[in-house]
Amino acid sequence: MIARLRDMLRALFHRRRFEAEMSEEFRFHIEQQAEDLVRRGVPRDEALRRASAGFGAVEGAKDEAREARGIRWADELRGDLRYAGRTLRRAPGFALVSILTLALGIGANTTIFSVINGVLLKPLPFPDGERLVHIAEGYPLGAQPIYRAEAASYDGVATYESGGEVNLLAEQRPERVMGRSVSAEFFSVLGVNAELGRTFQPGEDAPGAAPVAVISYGLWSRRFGSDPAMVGKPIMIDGRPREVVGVAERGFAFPVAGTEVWTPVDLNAQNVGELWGAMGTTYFGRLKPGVTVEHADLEHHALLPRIRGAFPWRMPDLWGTGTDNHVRRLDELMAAGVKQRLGLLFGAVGLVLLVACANVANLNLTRLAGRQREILVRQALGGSRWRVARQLFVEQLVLAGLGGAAGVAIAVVGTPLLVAWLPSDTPRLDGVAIDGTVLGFTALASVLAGLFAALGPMLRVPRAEALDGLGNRNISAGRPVGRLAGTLVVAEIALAVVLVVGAGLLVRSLGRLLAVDPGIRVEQVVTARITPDPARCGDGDVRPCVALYAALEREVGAIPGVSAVEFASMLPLDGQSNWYPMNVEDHPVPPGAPATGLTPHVVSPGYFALMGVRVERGRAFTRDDRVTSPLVAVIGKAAADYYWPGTSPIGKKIKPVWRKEWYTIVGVVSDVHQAGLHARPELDFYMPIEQWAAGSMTLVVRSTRAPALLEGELKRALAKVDATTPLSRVQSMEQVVRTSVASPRTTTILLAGFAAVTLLLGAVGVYGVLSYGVTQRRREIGIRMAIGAVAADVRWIVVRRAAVLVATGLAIGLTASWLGASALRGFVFGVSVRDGVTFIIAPMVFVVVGFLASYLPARRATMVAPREVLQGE
Amino acid sequence: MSKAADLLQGTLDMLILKAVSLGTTHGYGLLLRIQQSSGQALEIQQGSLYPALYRLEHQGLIISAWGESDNNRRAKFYQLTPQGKRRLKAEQEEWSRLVSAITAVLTTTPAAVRP
Repeated sequence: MIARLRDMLRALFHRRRFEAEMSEEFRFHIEQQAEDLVRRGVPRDEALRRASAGFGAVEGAKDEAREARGIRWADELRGDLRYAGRTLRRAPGFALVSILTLALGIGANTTIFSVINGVLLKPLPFPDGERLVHIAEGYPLGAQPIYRAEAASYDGVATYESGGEVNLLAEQRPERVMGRSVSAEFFSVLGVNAELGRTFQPGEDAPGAAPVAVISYGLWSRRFGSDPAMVGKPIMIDGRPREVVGVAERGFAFPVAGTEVWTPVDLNAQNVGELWGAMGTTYFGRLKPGVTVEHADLEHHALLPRIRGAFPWRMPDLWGTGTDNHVRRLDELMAAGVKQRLGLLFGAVGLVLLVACANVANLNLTRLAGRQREILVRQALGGSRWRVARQLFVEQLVLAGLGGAAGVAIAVVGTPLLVAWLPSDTPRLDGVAIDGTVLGFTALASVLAGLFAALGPMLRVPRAEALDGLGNRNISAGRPVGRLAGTLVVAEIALAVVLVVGAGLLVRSLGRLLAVDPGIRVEQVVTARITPDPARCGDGDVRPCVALYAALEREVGAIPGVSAVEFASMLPLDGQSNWYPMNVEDHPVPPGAPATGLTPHVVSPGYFALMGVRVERGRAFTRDDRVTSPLVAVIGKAAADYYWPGTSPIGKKIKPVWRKEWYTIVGVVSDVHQAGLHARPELDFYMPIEQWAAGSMTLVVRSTRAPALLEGELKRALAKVDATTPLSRVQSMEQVVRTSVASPRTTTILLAGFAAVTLLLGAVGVYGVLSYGVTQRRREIGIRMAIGAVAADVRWIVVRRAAVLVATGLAIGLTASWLGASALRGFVFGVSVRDGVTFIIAPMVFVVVGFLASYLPARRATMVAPREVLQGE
Repeated sequence: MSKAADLLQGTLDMLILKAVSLGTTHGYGLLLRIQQSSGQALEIQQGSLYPALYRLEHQGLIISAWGESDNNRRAKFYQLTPQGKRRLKAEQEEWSRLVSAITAVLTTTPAAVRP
């Protein structure tokens, strides 16, 4: 088999030599035979003639020899290709429309697939990435020694902390950058090396180790001009001097894209709060070769009682037993959040390609009807139906190939745009590229598209028995062609209906989501993160923080166009979350049971008023709620209803479990959506800014000016107060809300775009079939008009056809949508997946589109001149 | 296609393999060889010979190489491969079985088929 293939390939690629040798061999034969004949007394001329004649037609023999060598198909293919090129050049309009339609479908598919490939399919960019597993998150950092000593499934276990930002101060310029506190094994477990210098060494996270840092390649080139003497330089991170020991590999960013600084955690056993209280550590590991994820998971759960017992206080017995606490492959975990969404888009874009193919198939059919004569002539001259069908297929492949190439061009432009536009928290977007896998996919999609587009027409190649068609100018093989074309259009419409209904549901759902009252006023509010170093403010002492924020309030208040200045520890809807276990009066927690908890906020006195949060009972904070005055708290309505339903919470006491002093509740405010518009309001617990040392705060100002215009002045104001504190994430509250719905919004817009494209293609399909029908039935229409039909009757012929096509497509499409609606269950908010409004409006869209598509053909039909048609016969 | 070729449809390959197995030679030589050994009874058309040769070579049953003919002309010589040898043997056996079966049928007397 291999030998044969090699032989064939040799014959193909050394074609000239093959031909030359074959000629030489034949010549030798003829001459040899002629010599023998001469020897027997035949005259030389006669001998040569006879010898040649023995070969029959030399070319025929050669052809057979070629076929024996298995290369005749290549000759025929070349012929087909040449022929296809000629016919397509003769029909440039058809070719162009086909190529564009396919390019649109293939381009959209390639673009979406390149994202899927980068985000879901590619292996993680780490050596043996399939052995990397996510072990646990929201764990105490204090469990690290247990994992180091007792977990046998791994070559190494590493950790990183939640909280992805740090203050970087270098060359007197403060900047907020993405940074992580990680264990010493972080780089070695991932298998990542340093571009310059080194990564962390064992023991660098031990108490008393020298303060070091590794920076990213990007930060190194952006901020330090790719300084070759970077290693050993001092930088300040969160107010602490650290020595840069290395620059990580180019492109490395983990656990999230954009991470630029890594520092070792401090495993100081004295620091009980950080080791056991913070509970913000993520554990991941590299499995030993041959160890399965299931095995590691068993071990993980076997270790659970050990870890629970290691806490300095008694943990709830249920802690860690949740079903979401299990060992998973790292790549699967990273993909989990976007898998469904991308799957939906991929399905939708696949439908777009199907519709595009159906459209091209339709174009083909229509054209085929016009080519009957040519095809019959070819069959009369000895081309088999199979040969003609193959010819059509090759033509279609050429179109699909060109469409695919144009599609790749579309994807090359579209993919970076899509990547830039997708929500920035989409994992692994940096791995998205048009690579070999993507191009392979495109090639496959193109061939399948060509096959699909050619299949129908190939089945409709007229039989040579209809040879009398050669004499007859008006071949009426149009009927079956028309029926197949109609079927294709119905399929197109049905597919378009599915997409339009899907997109409609998402649009309605997004509308519902955006209509949710966030509980705050978003207009004319500009926000910015203020993140002082912990040493400056935040290490337990309230006073420096109070002074800092009071001074900042004065400076910012002096900026023209700013009418109010407030602070909050957490901005609604910006993706942050926090949770404190609390002691609540009237609600004691039995030992061993899970703690009750609330979402803590620290706010300045005027924050509620600025944000439009209403005071429902009691009072808001005032300037008199000071460091020295009695501790007070305000809770949200949801919290009030949860803990004290039907009674007033005013005067009740509440406190975080580790604090000694109780806070007295003085007011209840309206609920605010913190975790997302789709999520239920949380149990909110507010403390006044002067009574809780919250390190970093978000500056919230009322201003008519755009964030971009305000940013410079805000930074200058902060620099006057404190030159080392960075100001970051300047955005309007409107932007915050928009970002919070980025993921449903992008999905909706993409799906709506795909639906619009299929709707357009469907309309073009309907138009094409009607238009062709009018051409086919010119004679009939002419006769009808001659015997008294008026324009309205003629129009009705066309419109009726359109109505039948659209109605059939609608019926199929709506049924399919109704049955398949549950696929969208995870994507809709506030509407049923069988939303009545969507299922009523979508058909109306198609009725309008069907009418529009039939308008021109109907008009053309009325312009048929009966006399011309009848005389033309 | 001539009558001889029709007759030889299935057996041409076998004849060629046999002819090649008698010794390395070129296409014309093979033709002569088959004609002579059949006592001029079988005449093979060049038009069938070469496609068959190319096919057999493509199947890996024979191999070819360029060499010098008796009168010092460049010619393409054919030679049997081990695979070709096996094929020839198999086909010869098959042929013999077929011939003896047919012969047996043709030589049957009426007495032999009476129950």
